[in-house]
Amino acid sequence: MMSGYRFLRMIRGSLLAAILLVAAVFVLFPFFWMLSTSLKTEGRGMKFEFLPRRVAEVGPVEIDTAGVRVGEIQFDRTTVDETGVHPALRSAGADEVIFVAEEAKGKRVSGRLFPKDTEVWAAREALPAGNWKITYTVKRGWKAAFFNLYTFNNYRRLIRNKSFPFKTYLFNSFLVSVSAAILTVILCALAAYVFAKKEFPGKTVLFWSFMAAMMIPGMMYMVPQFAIVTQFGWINTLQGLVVPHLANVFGLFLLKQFMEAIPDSLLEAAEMDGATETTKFLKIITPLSMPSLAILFLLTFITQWNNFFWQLIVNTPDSPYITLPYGIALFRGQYETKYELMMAASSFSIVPIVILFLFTQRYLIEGLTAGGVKE
Amino acid sequence: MSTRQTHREVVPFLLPFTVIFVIFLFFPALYSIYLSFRKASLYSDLTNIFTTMKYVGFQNYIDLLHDRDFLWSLVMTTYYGILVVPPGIFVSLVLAALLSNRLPGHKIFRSAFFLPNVLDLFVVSIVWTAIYAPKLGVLDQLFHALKLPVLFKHGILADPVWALPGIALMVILKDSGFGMILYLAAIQNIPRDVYEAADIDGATAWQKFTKITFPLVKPVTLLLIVTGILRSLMAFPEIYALTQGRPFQEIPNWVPYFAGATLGMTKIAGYYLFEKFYLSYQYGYAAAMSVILLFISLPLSFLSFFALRTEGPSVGEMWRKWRRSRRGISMGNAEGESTSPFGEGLKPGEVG
Repeated sequence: MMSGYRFLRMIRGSLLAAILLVAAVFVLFPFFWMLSTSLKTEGRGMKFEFLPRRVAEVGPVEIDTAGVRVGEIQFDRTTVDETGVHPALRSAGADEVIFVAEEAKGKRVSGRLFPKDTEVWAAREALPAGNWKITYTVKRGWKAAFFNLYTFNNYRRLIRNKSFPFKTYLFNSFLVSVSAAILTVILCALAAYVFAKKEFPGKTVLFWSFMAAMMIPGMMYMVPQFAIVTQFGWINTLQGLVVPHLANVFGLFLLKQFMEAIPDSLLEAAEMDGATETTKFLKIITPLSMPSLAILFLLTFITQWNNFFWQLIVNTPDSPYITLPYGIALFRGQYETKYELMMAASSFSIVPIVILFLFTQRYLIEGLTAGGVKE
Repeated sequence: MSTRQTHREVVPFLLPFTVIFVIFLFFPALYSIYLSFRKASLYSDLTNIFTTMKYVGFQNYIDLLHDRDFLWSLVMTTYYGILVVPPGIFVSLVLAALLSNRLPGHKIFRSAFFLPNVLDLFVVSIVWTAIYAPKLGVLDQLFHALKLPVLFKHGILADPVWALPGIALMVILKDSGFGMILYLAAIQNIPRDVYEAADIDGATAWQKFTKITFPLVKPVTLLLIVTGILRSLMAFPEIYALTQGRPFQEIPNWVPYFAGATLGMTKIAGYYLFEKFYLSYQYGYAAAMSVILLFISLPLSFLSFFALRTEGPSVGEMWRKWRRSRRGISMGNAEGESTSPFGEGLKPGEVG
């Protein structure tokens, strides 16, 4: 009887686990796909192909040999893609390439390609003029097979790209997020200390009018904030990106809640010793509210890292402060269908935050849920 | 005398925050209304466009009420809200209910579901273009592999009927982890003995869920409904990244008012506002639109405020209790309820 009950529980448990697993796969699949696509060679990223193959068949590829100089035809010059080189034959490492060419009339030629240089395989003899359908069989070692499928080239190409300097975008994103986070923490901590530990006339009214700003959705501020930033001449500047978001009302509330928990007796004791407000703030309040400051720092960092909308508005395409999301948006204009590159570009924005999340998730979840997320 | 001393010392602490607040939050709220009564002249250049705007009275508002695209965007926003909010809440609740069993590894699952929340919606949407892409995309390959008929010739995002549900699916998968965390906190706050009593009465699992769990997590549900509505009203990055308001479709004759017009099937209010502002530089018009949207969203905020107030323990309270019981990270006042500026029930931010 007891064992039957335990058995049922086990079944139920594994069923639940299975459902959760399926759900997790659903939720995380896009990010897995992003990474796998970004790490594959051109044209292979969007295929369900994860294991490298030593012997691979490529093609059939159509070649029109009419009008080609007699003597040598490079079999890799095909009409397959706009680069003119079939990906499978371009990458080095194949030990042997065998081809079978068929013409519409039933003519059939087969043979072996020789390595012309590291990138190109060519044939010794010419195919007669006509439309040929060619199938290649590529044989290679494991290492070559692996690097034929997987590559870091997409990331390398982005970092070295002259017209879309992703290295700069990445740096700018860090610059904007870190400076916004530091300044927000400072501003909010200063104000929160006063609201938590001081009495002054109009305190309640002031605090409430700050809080009321949380009722207004961020999108409402788009036009007037842009107008102000334009009139300040802050378009395409760092301050234009950072300063408008510094008065973080939610951050003020979060820190105030924390600081209220700091015992008054500590401050009174310091006052007896003749401490000034500045000393009290720096020596007592700041060290004791470190966890909350860290939470606010993390939250602001992530919010600004993800603040695509504002970065789009304040930057023009020739701005020196183009950040990752806007950079990706610009990059997309030219490379929309190059999925391997697009996914690599996306991982520039996503991977740092995922790493940050893995190390600080407890605090992040705490901070985000404490405020019911203010956007 | 000592009080006067204190006041002066308060100023340097308050000033930086207040100055930024006034310039970039308080003033813009008023400036928005001011701009909504004005129109940018065609010939002024960008540097002084805002100073040369002409006063046009209520013209912008009148135009908006006759703007078929705007009214259509409100219709589509409502539809989008229906697509995103209830299914999102459902998924959150189911995930939380499953996780509350504390299976081995539940923390890993919790992190996995929550992770997409901290990522940029715009970039995540870009990632989803690789899933929704015609032919090459995961969805089409999957349909192909399963030998299902290809429903969307040019990809789901080019399909007038399914584009918006496609976007909604992405948003639900990205955001439901957040609701899950809140529900989880709420569920684990329900005292065990309530369930034990139900067990003694012979209640089934379903009865326990509908009669105990669901009513007791109502505040979270309300919070998610309201934030969901507000987010739908302001939704922008997902539309910008995936469809930019496309596809366009001629509205059939049986639809009142919109019949015959060719309208964007994913052009929801947030995106339309952006379009008027960013693409056609109609700043006054966009400002007027944002004021109208504000007047739609404010009552909703207040509604939630009162709904949440009267519904027993607030989300904030539940969350704090749960966190204290589980990890003992001290945050805020241990008995911080009385210090809340929002009174007993609600903590700010919960309104969205």
